[in-house]
This record gives sequence, C-alpha cells and structure tokens, in this order.
Amino acid sequence: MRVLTRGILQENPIFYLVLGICSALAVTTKLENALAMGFAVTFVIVISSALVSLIRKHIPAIIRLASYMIVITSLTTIIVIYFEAFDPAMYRTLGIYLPLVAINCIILGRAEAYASRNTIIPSVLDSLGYAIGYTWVISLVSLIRQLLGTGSITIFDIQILTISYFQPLDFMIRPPGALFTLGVLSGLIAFLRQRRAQSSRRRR
Amino acid sequence: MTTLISVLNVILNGFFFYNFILVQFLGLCSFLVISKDIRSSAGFAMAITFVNTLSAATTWLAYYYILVPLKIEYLYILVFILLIATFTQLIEMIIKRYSPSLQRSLGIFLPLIVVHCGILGSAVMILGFTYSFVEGVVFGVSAGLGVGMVILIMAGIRERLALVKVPKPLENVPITFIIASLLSIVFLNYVRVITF
Amino acid sequence: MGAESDKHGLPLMTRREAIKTVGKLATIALIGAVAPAIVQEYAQEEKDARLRDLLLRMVPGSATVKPVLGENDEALYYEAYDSSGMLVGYVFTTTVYGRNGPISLVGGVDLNYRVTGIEILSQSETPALGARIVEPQFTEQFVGLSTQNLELTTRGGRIHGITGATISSTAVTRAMREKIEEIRKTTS
Repeated sequence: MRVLTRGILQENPIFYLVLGICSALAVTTKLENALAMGFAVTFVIVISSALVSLIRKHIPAIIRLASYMIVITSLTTIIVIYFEAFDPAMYRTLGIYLPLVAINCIILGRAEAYASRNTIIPSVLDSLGYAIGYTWVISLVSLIRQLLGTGSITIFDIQILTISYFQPLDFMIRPPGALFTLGVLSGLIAFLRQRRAQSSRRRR
Repeated sequence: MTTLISVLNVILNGFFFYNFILVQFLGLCSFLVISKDIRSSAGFAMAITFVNTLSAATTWLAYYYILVPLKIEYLYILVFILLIATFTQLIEMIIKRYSPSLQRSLGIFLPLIVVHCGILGSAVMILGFTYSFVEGVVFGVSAGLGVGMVILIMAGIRERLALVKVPKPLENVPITFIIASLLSIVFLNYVRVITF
Repeated sequence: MGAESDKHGLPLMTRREAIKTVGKLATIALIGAVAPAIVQEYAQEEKDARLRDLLLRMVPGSATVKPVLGENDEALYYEAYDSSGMLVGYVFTTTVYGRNGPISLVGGVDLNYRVTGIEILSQSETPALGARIVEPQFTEQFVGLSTQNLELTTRGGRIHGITGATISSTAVTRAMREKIEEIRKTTS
C-alpha cells in the first residue's frame, strides 16, 4: 500500500522531485485540460511500467534505456493518435505538450528506478501513485489559476463557483501565473516540510 | 515562401513570442538547476542551441522526406527522439573532449538534453508552423538562443541572490519560480509586431 | 559479467550475444512501431467520419461531399451533393494567420457563392477578444453574404468586427472572401 501512496505525497513528482513540470504548467489554464493531461500521463506511465516490469529480465544492460524509451514513446504515440481522433478539441488545446509526455521525466524515471527491478503489481501501483501525485498537483494549480484569473471555476463549462466583486488577475491565466502559482505552492510545501522536520526533531 | 520578413518573424517567434522557458515552460527542469551560475549556464546555452539547431534541421528533413512519403507521420515522436539522442551524444563527446570542467559542472543535465522538452518541442512546433527548411533551422537557432538568454539572465539574478537572505522554504526552487514568473510578465508584452 | 569493457566503454560480449541484443532491440522497436499503426487504423475511421459530418453541416441539405484534389493529392475544396446526386454547393477548409497564430476554419457556399455555413476549427487568439470569433454572434453574420459584402463594415462590407479584435476579425473575413473567390474562379 505504501508503494502506492509514496508517489502521491512524500515523493510527489512535482513538488519533491521537481520532474515533469514542463507540461504541468502549460496545461493548467483549465481544470479539464489538467485532467486530460493527467489521464494521458497515467495511461502511459501505468502501461509502460507494467510492460517494463514484465520484460525486465530479458533486456541486456546496454539497450535498457533505449528499450524503455521505445515503449514509452510508442504508448505516447498511441495516446496522441487517440486524442487527435476522439477529442480533437482537447488535442488542439494540449498542443505540443501531448507528444512531450514521451520525454516526461517522471515516466522514464519510474521505469528506470522501480519498474525495472520489481514485479508487475508493485510496479503498477508505484506508477499509479506517481500518476495520481502528478494529476492532483496540476489540478490544484489549474483550479487556483482559474479562480484567481477569471473569478470563477468552471468544470466542463459548468460554472461551479463565482466570486463577485473580484477583479480577476489576468496574469494568472497567462504564463507568469503558472510559474508564480507553482512557486508559491512549492514554497508552501517546503515550509510545511520544514515545520514537520523541526517538530519531529524537537520531539526527540 | 521564405522571405526576409518571414525569417525575421521566425526569429522573433523563437526568441520572444514563443520563448521556450518563460512562455512555453519547456525545459524547466534543467533551467531550475543550471541557472545557478553563469559559467555553466553559458555552456549549457551553447550545447542546447547546438542540439536544437541540428535536430530542427534533421527532423524537418526526416519528416518531409521520409515519414510523409511513407505515410507514417504518426511515428514522428519515435524518429525525432532518435535523432535528438544522436546529437545529444555528439555534443556530449565534444564537450567531454574540449572542456571536461564544463561537463562536470553540467553533470547529468548534459545527457538529459535528450529529454529536454524544448528540443522535441521545437521540432514539433516547426511542423505546426509549417515552416520551410530554412525557417525551421532559423527557428531552432533562435529558440535555442532564447533558452540560453533566459538561463543566463536567471543565473545572473541568482548569483546576486546568493548575497541576500532568502527565507529558507523559498530557497532554490520556489524563489526561482517566482522570479521566473516576473520575467515571464515582461515577455507577455511581446506581441506580434509584423503581421502578414 | 559487465565488468569488462573494450576501449569504447561498451561491454565485451560474444558475437552471438551481440546479435541477440540487437535482435531484442529490433523486436521492441518493431512492436513499438506497429502498435500505433493499429491504433491509427481505428483513429483514421473516426477522423474521416468526423470530417464528413463537419463538411456536410456546412451546406444544409447536403448528403455527400466529394473532394476536388490538387496536384499533391490534397483537397482543394469539396463539392456537396444532396441525396439525389445534384450539386448543391461547395465546402472548404482554410487556414489564415490571425493575431497570435493560425486560425483554421471550415466554410460552405451555395451555387451562387453565398455563404451557407462557417465554423472556426482552431485558433489561438486572445481570450475574450480575438477568441470570440468562434461565437455564433460573429460567425452567423457571414451566412447569406456574397463575396462583395465579405468585408468589415469599416471597409464597406457587412461584417461587424469584434470590438478590440480587428486583426482576428479581418483575418477570418479575408480568409472566407479569398477562398470563396478562389473556388468561384475554378468552378465558373
């Protein structure tokens, strides 16, 4: 069970490992976009970890990295094709960030660090954990950006929340907003970590 | 048609309007780590521009002369990454030979250029813009230089920042993000000037 | 195993091992290339169906569309036929540069070259300004107009541009006008 939760909180890929942030920031203008990207990443990372785990004993060392890249890229190609055909609007919105899932450091990192050394069930759980960790962070960022940037939150074009008398901060939905939100959030997380480390030190 | 105006437009696109770090968020991992000091940032900037230009050129050729005629365009991700890996290996060997100290200071981020979102990103963008070969190569150069410029600016700022007391939780990653967001606001104001 | 390397840093292995290794990599690469190909087949069907529906929507009453191909086998425009096989109009897609990037749209005209339909497929204009070209308020102005009226009102035409988004509005208007003129020249 810990295998699953590790990627969600303690070793959160975005805050703790600072991996895969490229796509993380660009798609966080709306919640749907973040969820779609999260879906794509989850698809690729879970299946690739499963496959890597299955074939791990048959791959000689020198072609390890190349094999993992081929598996990951192939899965990414599949998800790109899927989006282009079955959700063209989202495909256009995600733009170049969808094929960039292939070089998402989280996916390759997990394949290399865990799936290549463990059996299939733990590998799947591990990768799923990181996928969830990634998805919840970008969803949070997109909620914050959307709320502060437009004054309301819409999920699939349904308005959920609106703050009246609030002058939206336009820069939030533009690129600087993403950098700023992530900066403040990661600072906050670091602060909480520091507090927790201090209090556990004091207890001893 | 590739004209002087269109090439100028390409340069502005790659450098400002679609700046890879401050506007498109490509290559943030390396940006956060490398921008600590100016020397390694400069070396990284050169390496990135080198790989980006060569990969822009070869991926363009591979796409239009191999993938499209064979109708296997959807395999572009695989082919592009393969080409990028080749050039990353090449620049690694060059740097190892001519400046081992640079190789040491860049550390793992030199081989990691192959998974630098900006390199694959620019190859894909060149297709999206339907640039000609010349425009594509120019885009590769200007995008690479754009990345380099931003990293250098950030390195300059962070070197000064080391003299100031930053709150501990904000050290390194968070403060870099926040400074980057301010730089990004500057880039927001660059809009298309030449329309045609 | 793996501790010995030759002068290039590659591990020493017998020729047999080397061939097996290359074979494994090739197999993976092959599967990696074939799997997307299979998905692409299904995806292509879906894409073709979508495109057909979109094109048919552009000319009311049309049942089938037939592409008119150019020299590189690309569709220059489409002829729209109703269910009895009579030509009822023309459909086209075109891309034009807006303020922030390419705008692609699809449009349809009847046999008198009056607009019967228009839809913006993709754009990256400024939200709340240029991006409003996708709104029906803007696009429905086009329906029924012939090319002589396909201009902004500020230039003597009948299209009211979006306030604060002149570049985007002009781009769309110009794209429609020029493409329809192109089709008119080819078919008259």
